Amino acid sequence: MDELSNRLRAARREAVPGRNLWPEVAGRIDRADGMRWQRAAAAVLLFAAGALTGTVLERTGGGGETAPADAALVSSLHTAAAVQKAGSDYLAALARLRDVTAADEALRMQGYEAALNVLAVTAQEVTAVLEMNEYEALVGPAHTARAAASRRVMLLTGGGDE
Amino acid sequence: MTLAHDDAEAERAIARLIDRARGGDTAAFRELYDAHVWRVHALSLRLMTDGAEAEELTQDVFVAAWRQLHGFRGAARFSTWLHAITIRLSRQRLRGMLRRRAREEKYMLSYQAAVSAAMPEADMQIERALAQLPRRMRTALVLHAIEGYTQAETAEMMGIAVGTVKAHVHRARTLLQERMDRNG
Repeated sequence: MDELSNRLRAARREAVPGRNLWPEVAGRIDRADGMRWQRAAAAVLLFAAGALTGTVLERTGGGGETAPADAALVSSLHTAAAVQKAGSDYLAALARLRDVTAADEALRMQGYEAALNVLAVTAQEVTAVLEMNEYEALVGPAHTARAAASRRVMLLTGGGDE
Repeated sequence: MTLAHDDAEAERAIARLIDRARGGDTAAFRELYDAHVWRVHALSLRLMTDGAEAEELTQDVFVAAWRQLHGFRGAARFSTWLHAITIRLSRQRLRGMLRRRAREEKYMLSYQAAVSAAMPEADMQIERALAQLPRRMRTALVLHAIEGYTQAETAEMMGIAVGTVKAHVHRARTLLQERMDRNG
């Protein structure tokens, strides 16, 4: 083997960072974990909203005999699609937020706060409609999502307990 | 006890830590971090050719590894998987940086200081010449000639063809030799 290859092969394969990097890694991991419940809560809300929209469609559709061209049904379908798209956009925005670099920490925290506020308000709306329609199976998870989102907003904004 | 036996036992210990970390055990992940951070940082430093940027990249790698741990199938070593993440994230980070002024003496002195601190007794002539190579050539040469990955592994980690890796390594070695000869 030639001298250059030997010197490259002998080059060090370990380097010691100039500072302890673990505390920041651990902090970012904690925050990433905090996002998990948020995505779960968003999934519950999307499910609740989808179920609700389905029920509305069923009621307005008169047992499935309505013609596809029926204006009310088309409008409801558009509404259902809009709900689904808003939910998908929300989750995509959270994913993008997660990838914001550490240098933009203030921006990211602002984003989290806004996302949590949206989640809390949405959960409140969905819970209210679900309670009105007595969908008991969905009320519990929606309540949990709303409470968790509200607690998180309080923590982020430095507010007191709920 | 043989070296191979030691290696196998070490890999089993790492596999156990990965299982625990997948279950949310951050203490286990801390052990994985402690076992690999120096290897990851050496690659980060050579890819970024900047001490502070390398530290940021090393942090990014471990945060990404934690998030993607469920995707680690064990087909390659954990250290190889971490290096692949390092390569991918370095591209994103480099895109956000200004073009490096590798020939500027002030910049090179700062990088050499970072290398001296992070890698005591490093071959500074090699490190300085490496830092002046174009990014892709440097990445290919570091992975193949220093980290010891095969050309196929290097190609997979860089997302390029094996033939391209061969060309990069060959050209990089030529440039490296020329620069070292010129600098004495």
